[in-house]
Amino acid sequence: MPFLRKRHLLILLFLCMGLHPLLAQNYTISGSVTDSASGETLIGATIMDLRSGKGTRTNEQGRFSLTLRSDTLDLRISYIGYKSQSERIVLRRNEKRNYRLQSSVQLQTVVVRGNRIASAESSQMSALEIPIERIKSVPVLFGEADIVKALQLLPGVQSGSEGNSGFYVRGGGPDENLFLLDGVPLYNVSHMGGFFSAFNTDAVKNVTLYKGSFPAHFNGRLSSVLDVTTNNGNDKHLHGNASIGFISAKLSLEGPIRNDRTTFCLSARRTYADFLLQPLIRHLAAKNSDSQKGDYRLSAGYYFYDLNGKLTHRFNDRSRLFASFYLGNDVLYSRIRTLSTDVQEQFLNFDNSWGNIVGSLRWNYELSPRLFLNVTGAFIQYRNNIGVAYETESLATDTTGSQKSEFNMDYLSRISDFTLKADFDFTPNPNHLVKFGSAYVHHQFLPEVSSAHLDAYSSAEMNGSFLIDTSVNSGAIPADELSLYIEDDWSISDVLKVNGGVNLSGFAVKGAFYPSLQPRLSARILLGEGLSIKAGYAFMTQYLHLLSTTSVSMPTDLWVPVTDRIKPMQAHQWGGGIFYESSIIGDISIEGYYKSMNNLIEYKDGASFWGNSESWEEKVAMGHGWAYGIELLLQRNIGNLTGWIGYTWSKSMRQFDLPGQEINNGKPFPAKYDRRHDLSIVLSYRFSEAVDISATWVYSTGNAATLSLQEYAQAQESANQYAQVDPDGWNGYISQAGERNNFRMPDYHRMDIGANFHRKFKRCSRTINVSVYNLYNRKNPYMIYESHEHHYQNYNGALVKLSIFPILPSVAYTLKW
Amino acid sequence: MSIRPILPFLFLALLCASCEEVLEFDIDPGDRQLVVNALPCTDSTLFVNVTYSRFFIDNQPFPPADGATVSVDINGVPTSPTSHDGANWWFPYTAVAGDLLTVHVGLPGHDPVSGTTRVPALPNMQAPIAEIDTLQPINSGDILFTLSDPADQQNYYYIYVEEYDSGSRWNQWESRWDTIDTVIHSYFNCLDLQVTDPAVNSSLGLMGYFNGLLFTDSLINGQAHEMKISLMMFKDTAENPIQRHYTLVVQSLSHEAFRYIKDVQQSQSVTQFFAEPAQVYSNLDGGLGIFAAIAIRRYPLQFVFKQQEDPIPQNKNKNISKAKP
Repeated sequence: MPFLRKRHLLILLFLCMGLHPLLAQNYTISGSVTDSASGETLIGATIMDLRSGKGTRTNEQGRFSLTLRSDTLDLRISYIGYKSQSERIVLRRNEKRNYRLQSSVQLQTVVVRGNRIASAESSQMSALEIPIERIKSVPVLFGEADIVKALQLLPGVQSGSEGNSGFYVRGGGPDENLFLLDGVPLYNVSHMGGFFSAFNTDAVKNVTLYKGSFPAHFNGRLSSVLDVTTNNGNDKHLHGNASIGFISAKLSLEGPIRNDRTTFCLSARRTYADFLLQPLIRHLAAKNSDSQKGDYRLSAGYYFYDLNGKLTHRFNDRSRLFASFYLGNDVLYSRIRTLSTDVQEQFLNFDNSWGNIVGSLRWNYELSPRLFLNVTGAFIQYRNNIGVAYETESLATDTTGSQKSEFNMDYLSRISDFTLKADFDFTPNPNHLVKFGSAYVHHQFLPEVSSAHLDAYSSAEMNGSFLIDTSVNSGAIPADELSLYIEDDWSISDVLKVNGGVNLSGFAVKGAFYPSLQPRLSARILLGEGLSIKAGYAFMTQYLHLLSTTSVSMPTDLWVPVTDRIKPMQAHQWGGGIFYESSIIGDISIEGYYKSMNNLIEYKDGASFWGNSESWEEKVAMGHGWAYGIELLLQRNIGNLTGWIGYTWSKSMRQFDLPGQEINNGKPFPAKYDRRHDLSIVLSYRFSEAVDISATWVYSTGNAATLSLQEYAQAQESANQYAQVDPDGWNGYISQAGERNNFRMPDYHRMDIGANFHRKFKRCSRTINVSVYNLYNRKNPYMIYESHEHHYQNYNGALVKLSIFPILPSVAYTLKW
Repeated sequence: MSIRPILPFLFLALLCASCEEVLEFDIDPGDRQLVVNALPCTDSTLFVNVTYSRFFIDNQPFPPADGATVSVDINGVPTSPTSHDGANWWFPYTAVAGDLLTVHVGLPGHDPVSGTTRVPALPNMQAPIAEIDTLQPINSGDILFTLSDPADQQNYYYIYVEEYDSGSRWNQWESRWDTIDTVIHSYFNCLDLQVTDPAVNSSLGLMGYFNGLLFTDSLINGQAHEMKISLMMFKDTAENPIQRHYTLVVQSLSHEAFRYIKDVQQSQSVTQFFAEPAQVYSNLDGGLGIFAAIAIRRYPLQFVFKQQEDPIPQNKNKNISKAKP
């Protein structure tokens, strides 16, 4: 069988790589690279032997392993933004080295490391790395630095609607992105309906986005992987960072505990609009009390908060333990108490909270200088709670006496994951970096539980109470997911480098089992100094679906697993590109891709999931899609002027033509966020150590929308009812649905600017950030709708564009010590 | 002046600052289509409504299709209308269970429009019993009836409670008495429909539907079951002496009527705002609209008190909701 032959070949290859160093009398240098000031591990730092030209990079834990022949080595350890170190070593045995690089003060503020993972040297393509310093400097909505919004400015990544932090990668949907926080997946990464992402930039160290050519150790989503690594904490001194912006305040603390073996890092963020709005709410309540001639009290608000924490303990140079947690929550509430003049008291309380809880324990251990182990156990939970309580009590003393009734409604939706995984990095020699491992995830889906309780009684006859107590439970759905992977980053020659691997996964749910063998391959051919061409292929499988009918992220969005009828989504993606790195003009890359997707789900015409997961399978249709495009990225990371220009030309289509599941009569139609052109220009200029400015300009083709172009009268049982038909009413006419996404909204464009004013004091430094969102007040469409209150040309109705964010200035103050 | 008092307003203004603008666009309005609507019912005379469709931003009444020729085949026998009033063509016919009906509409410049439906059997049920409990803050009522579903065929039902209000109500905003004479089509009062037989133990998935209870016989096929509709009714007060009359309407639908009503309800639901526009079912060739038969039973409700929950008999008459046939 072909499969068995492939497997045997892989095992043979693996054994050969293991034996190779024994035959060649090689020795290994292993260790870590960290920041000299903070002790923070540096991901992607280069360790190069200048004599042989062999080298490696540090992994996600800042560890490296370099096996070379016994010889004298001239090692150079470098990381952009840091001063390089050199060391001569006579290699006669295995060596342990921990390098601490010193940040280059001059460079630190103006130079940021580029897409090193996808550099011309690397075999990886379609990956982008944005340093957190750059993300913080990008001017954004309300001045709130946001990782996801910064990524939306990259080619191949599109935002959803205005101001939204959801993103769409290479024609994929918003649920096809895997968000990893320290290797642990998050389900809902949005706050405030999607206007902000769940990642607090103060807690984040490194951000890498994969859009294609996925390494074999990633699986579970079709379109992208966003790998976010948080800070470990300073192992020298206690440091802090406090900032207050337009909508939120943040505080971060990090430092050693007792000695440099144990460090901590804590970050917290909370919005405070609910505090600011309290006077207004009280004013409205008082006004209402006057008009109603009663006592009316109102308390309402919305806020979100994030808590990130990480504890790192270094047992020795070979062993480290990380305990981390993330708690993010959005809370929307209102409390209304009314005491009317007829001595009737009413309470109406509404509470809605939703968010993620993540706890993980990670152990890094160096099994040998060439073999590195990372074991992770994690618990992830996303939940959405809604509670409504209504209580009324009348103290009237008529024949029926006092009366009281209570109504309570609760709604819960939850998904919990228990994850255990082991990842190995094996470096048999400088030509190979082998990664292999396995992961097991137990999912517990609880799409919806609703309960209602109504209790009413009169004091005259308590036994006359009226009681309804009901519960609707969609039932917990357990599911198990297992995956195994192996990949090798293999330098076949100085010119040719290949990253090949395979991910084997299986998903079991409700008696159904879906196996999937997913090959991955990418290759690089070095054409000259800093110039290479690359090609890649990846097959991805996704076992989860997100049920949502809105373009913005809502807490009511439900994650559900595949079923025996709804198959896993699959995507094949082919890509190729040319990459050039120049120390003068910067890095240039041009990539093209083609992606085909199967078993996509889409809501049938008119179907929606507003808090109802029952029989959701009946409401969706399965189909396929395809997307292709060209992406251009020019970025400059050196000098006072830095930034990038990204342009994407793309097309994304869908077709649902299975019998009985046709959408758009089975004909192909543009995907919701199909956009032909997408352009982003991001520039920063550093005037001095005290002042730097930045600006962004984005332009994209307008979003697609479906317009019903014809309306007609609704059938009535009685002829008299036709006379009552109100053209403005809700019930009098029917809109004849047109072709799906048959209309384009106006093009989107916007300019944002920002300036940072830095000042150093004796023991601390401060930064004042001033930014303006939508500088020229472009009224970009957030949504369009039909209105009969407006007129257009000869018609008594019109199509109306709603814009939500005009020019918005904001200020943020940050203090570091 | 301190800036603090205006901070909330400034924040709110920025947060909520939105802008509506008429969007200029270039879309061909296209040709108006012929729309034929008729719901032949067993309790009323057949009429066929023929109009044109309109461009979606054209806020004008649907124009009648002047000059149209309309006929209906009843079991293959062509029948002409006896009168024509605006957009309605009247026929000397009231639907009879089992009849096969076909409508034909012609108009110069348009393709001929036709559609077919068969009149379903009347719902097989006994007159309902209606009970009310007035001791609670909100009156709660139960309507009990037995529905016998015919076997060997798919049946479709649409049940709702129609409320007719008459009298006068104090309008606190205008400070005057308003005369009420309104039919409320099942809104806000129908809680759920339950099969009371414990063996079935089902609410038919219809709990909390305000647009009436639309369902197929998949759970009760070929069986007779007692069913219960729970109602919540407003309590009349001396300040608002409104007379409320309730009628239980039980419809047996043709397949065409079922699909049409289901799609219309779906397209008009609150959640539709977030969904892609619904394609409403039409069984007409050459045009839009619906031609679908309905068999209807109507039962004016006379509520009686629940005996076991009536500890104060002297208050009975005061609180009876009077129903009229």
